Amino acid sequence: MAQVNVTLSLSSTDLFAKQALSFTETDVLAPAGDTQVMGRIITSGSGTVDCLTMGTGTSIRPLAGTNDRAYLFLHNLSVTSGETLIVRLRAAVGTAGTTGDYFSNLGPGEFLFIPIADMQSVDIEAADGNPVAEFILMEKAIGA
Amino acid sequence: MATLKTTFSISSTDLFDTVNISKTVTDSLTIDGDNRQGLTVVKTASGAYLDLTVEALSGAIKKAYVYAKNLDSTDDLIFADDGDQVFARLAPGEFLFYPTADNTKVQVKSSANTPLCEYLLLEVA
Repeated sequence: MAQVNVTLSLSSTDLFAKQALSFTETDVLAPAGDTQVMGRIITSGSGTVDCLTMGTGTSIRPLAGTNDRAYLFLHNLSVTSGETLIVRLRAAVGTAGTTGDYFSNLGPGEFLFIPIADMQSVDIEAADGNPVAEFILMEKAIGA
Repeated sequence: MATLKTTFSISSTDLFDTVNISKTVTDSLTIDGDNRQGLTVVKTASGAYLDLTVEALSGAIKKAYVYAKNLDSTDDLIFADDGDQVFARLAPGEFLFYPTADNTKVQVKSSANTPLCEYLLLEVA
């Protein structure tokens, strides 16, 4: 079983007039699924969805196991204003997520880290241009 | 207008045989929304979802940065969007950080019992 170390630090001196914010969280992850993917893609552009996994029987299988759980790190590498990435869940890998219904939006340079669940894959779509996305998708447990 | 500085690091020497992972991302995020909820701890339950937002998220795409951590040592935290669609599940000790969008709220419930959820929610605009 692999070991993956993650650390998040957040800080601000001007969010609140009377209180500074500064903390760090660390965790040691142990992904053990049969889908461990690190990728970099040039997104296809507005109106076209790029799916992070493929179908059953392919080299990059749908997320599976109890609750389809996985760790997702996703980073929008664009530096161009307007080149945001819409992130939506794909419940069944063969069917794209619902257009217009998304749960995250990554601006240029932004990232997310989520222990995702209840989705066999993740759809990303550029709002404009063709921003490059890097991702690490680590399935937590083997499942059918 | 405020600035939230973020750093995220991920590393592994054995996730893949052929390459090691070692990446650090930094970003300075602008916070200009009228809903800034500092670090908070709430008790969750396994029945109905608990809304983490004190007011509905608004702005063009209803964007807010969310940090959450499961403080429990036994039970999971389950996160859903404003349509009750589950998108994340935190095992004990796990955390998340992401910009929520297109949803008026972020909801949480437990897999069982009443685990504590620590969270921070900062509306972008």
